[in-house]
Amino acid sequence: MRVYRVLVGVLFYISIFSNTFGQELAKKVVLKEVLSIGGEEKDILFQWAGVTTDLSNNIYLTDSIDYSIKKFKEDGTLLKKAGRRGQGPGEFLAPRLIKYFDRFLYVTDQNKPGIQVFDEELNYKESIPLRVPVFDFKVLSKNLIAVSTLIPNESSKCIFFYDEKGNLKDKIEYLKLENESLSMLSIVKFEIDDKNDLYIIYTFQDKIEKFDGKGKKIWSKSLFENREMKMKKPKVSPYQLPEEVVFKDIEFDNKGNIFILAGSWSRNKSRDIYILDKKGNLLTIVTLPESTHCIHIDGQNNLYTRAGMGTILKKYRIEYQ
Amino acid sequence: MLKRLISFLFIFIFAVVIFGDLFMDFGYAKTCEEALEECWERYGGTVWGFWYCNLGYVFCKIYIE
Repeated sequence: MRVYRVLVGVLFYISIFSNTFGQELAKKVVLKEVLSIGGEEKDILFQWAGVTTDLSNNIYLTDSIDYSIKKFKEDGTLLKKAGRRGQGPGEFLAPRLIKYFDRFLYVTDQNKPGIQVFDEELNYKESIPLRVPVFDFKVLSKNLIAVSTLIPNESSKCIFFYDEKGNLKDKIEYLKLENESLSMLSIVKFEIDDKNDLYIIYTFQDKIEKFDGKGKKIWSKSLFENREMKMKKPKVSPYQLPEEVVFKDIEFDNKGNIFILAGSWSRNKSRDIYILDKKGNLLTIVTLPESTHCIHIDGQNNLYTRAGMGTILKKYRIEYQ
Repeated sequence: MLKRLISFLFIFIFAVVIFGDLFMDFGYAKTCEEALEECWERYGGTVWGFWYCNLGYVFCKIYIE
């Protein structure tokens, strides 16, 4: 009986003083560079836009300048390149995001609707037709893809869930707008964890939010004291434009931490990564040597970022101290 | 119905072909705002054009800032 009481006491203590079971909190993070691909003198990368990795640590990139996707070995050796300018299958106008899921690569194009699917050897397999332009997406299973988009004149802002044929299956509303001119302010990037919780970052607002799988808001957080966005009125537009990017990208590491790349409002513009736990508590900030537009973390907790204005990819080992 | 479909396809293909490269030189020759204004002037009258101009602006801001 006494042992039982002690055990209950210990469990109670752990539950009170640990933020989350199963999450190893990052108190200090150090980045060690382990790989660099490209460079101005090497004609390998010209202006890469998206990055992903597979389970064998191969690296896949989209490159906007030569309309391609590229596959690199773990040591940085170029294995294959595919794609060319065009609108046909396997062709690109402005390749952007690339995500690996279960032996396939899913690639978006800024100027083409839908998502193109390739195998690991970069052979084109099929296209998923979508009627909305894709700003961010996550492949949840072979037949379920979550998409963030930018649709004007819609008061309800949602993450949409499509099947592999492009049929809308579900949606989670993250914002209800009263004024449609706020349209661009409501654009978000997101991540979904293994519990189906949704984490969103606003590109043009100081707002990070968590929703459960049914769309109930769990928390909302700001990192820059809810600073107000400066808006600019262009000559030819009825809309005002947000001038600065607040948050650029969101990723999870395999310890359950949330990595958020901040933009112009951070002390080190586009170099600071804010690391939060899943309750939204800020744990630490790590600063990259160079500015980047995106981050990717692989299954071994390696961080991939941009350098050299898109001509270089850097890979860092994340060390937790 | 067929007329609407043809009209949609025409606008869409036209828009995609022409402004495909509008944002390719971001960070070098233009600001994102200038590129967006140019895009709107040319294609902002179509629904697809408007969407893709705006999306291009957001990608552009994220990429170069």
